[in-house]
Amino acid sequence: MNRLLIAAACAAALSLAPTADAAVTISGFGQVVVGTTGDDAEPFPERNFDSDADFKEESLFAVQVSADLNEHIDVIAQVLARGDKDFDAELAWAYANMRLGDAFKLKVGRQRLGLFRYSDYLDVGYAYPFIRPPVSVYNLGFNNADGLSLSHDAQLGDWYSQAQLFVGGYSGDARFGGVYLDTKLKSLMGASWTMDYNDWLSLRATYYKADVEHVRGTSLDTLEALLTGNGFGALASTLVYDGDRGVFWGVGAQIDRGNVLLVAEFTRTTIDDSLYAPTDGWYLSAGYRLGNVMPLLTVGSKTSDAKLELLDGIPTQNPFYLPILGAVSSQAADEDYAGIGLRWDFMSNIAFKADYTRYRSDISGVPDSDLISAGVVFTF
Amino acid sequence: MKMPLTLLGGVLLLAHFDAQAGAVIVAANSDASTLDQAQVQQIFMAKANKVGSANAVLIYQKPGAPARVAFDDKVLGKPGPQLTGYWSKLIFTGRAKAPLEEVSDAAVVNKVATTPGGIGYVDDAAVNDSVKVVFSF
Repeated sequence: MNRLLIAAACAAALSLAPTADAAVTISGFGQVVVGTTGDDAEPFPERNFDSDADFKEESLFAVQVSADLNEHIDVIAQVLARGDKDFDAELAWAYANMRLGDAFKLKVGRQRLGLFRYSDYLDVGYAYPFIRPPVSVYNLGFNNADGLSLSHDAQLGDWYSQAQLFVGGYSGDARFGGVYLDTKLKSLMGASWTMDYNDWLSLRATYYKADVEHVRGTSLDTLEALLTGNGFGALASTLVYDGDRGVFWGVGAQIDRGNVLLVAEFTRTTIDDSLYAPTDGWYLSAGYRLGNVMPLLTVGSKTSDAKLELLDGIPTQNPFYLPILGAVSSQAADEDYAGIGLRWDFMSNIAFKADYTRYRSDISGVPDSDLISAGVVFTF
Repeated sequence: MKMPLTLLGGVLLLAHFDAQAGAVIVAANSDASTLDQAQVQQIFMAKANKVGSANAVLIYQKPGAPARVAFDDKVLGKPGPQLTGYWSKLIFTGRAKAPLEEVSDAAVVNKVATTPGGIGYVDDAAVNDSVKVVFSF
């Protein structure tokens, strides 16, 4: 099925390029990463590493095919095979890109959502210095969506502005906490705006909202079934995500001047009328270039305030009081990350990365974890 | 004997003068006019997409080529992997196509001369009548 998919993507791109002028380019990227949480093997958030050296969890390979249909339109397809899905190839993107005049571009199809600074090239390890974008912020499991985006690029004096509006939806397996959950979002829309000053300062702001149709595969499903089956349907609907509004917003900045790189992002995610705890995440990374080597220090934090007030309206004699309390409090998070990493560009288009990140949680019962990882990232 | 200041200055200038003296070129029949460094940066980093009135066709040299090393560092301010990292962001987000890469100054001159909208960079010595210089570095 996977080879058929890749062949189909290539054939589609090639068949859509009938004229002699049409150019088809094939490029790709990938990474081979190995990681372990050491002998203690405590779980590291958003990942499935343990005491064994795992080569699949963060490895991936991708092929991108793009074909120019004419001066204004090209089509792009990207097929990605992730190690954590046993390298089953999936169509990550497939969209038509239309140039409307000098400044506007319209993309129609399956494409990357510009939620974070590194969203656009999240899978392209070659494009960023850390071994993984900091998990304190990069923990929203869906990165691609189906829809339309309109982008506008303009040079305004010393500032280069890139703005993008998106409208569409998402339906698929989104990865949260290392597990794939069947997720469906409707009326997914948002905007992101990046302003670059000369070549060293970049500022970014983004806002997205969606109506959550469902998120299936968590223990909330069982709790919902129990509540609804026992006449507590209204109570169940105050807990589940179905039909609720999710909001995401974030800001970020990057300074890349001389040999110094500083980058930081802050994000907030909420889902109204559900037990989802409003979550704030941030990170700050500082790197210094010594020739082709960049050592990097990263700190970050993620906090989620459990919505304990949801229990206020429920009498303690309610047979489901304890399971509901359990579900609501399990949303709480108070995590700190600190890591040291290295990137070494030893050959053109290939780099080596290594990283050691400590995870500490202030929620009792959640164990601390250390993740050691290394890998090679490349493009071709 | 005291050296006249201007001669001394000239000698010092020569002593600091880099071995690579390069030129950014377009086809001789292109309607593009001379560019300043900011404009050259915008074109070669896919932020501006026109050379004169034609769509820009970017012609780089292979990584490691002397002209490329000098150009990436002195003109774009992004030596080596910084530039390839920047381009990988554009290519793998579908924002831009990978620029052409030619293997020698002569190949660049040939490509620029024969491609509408072509723009590239070569050592000064490779410039001939089929192309014109829009920026020197």
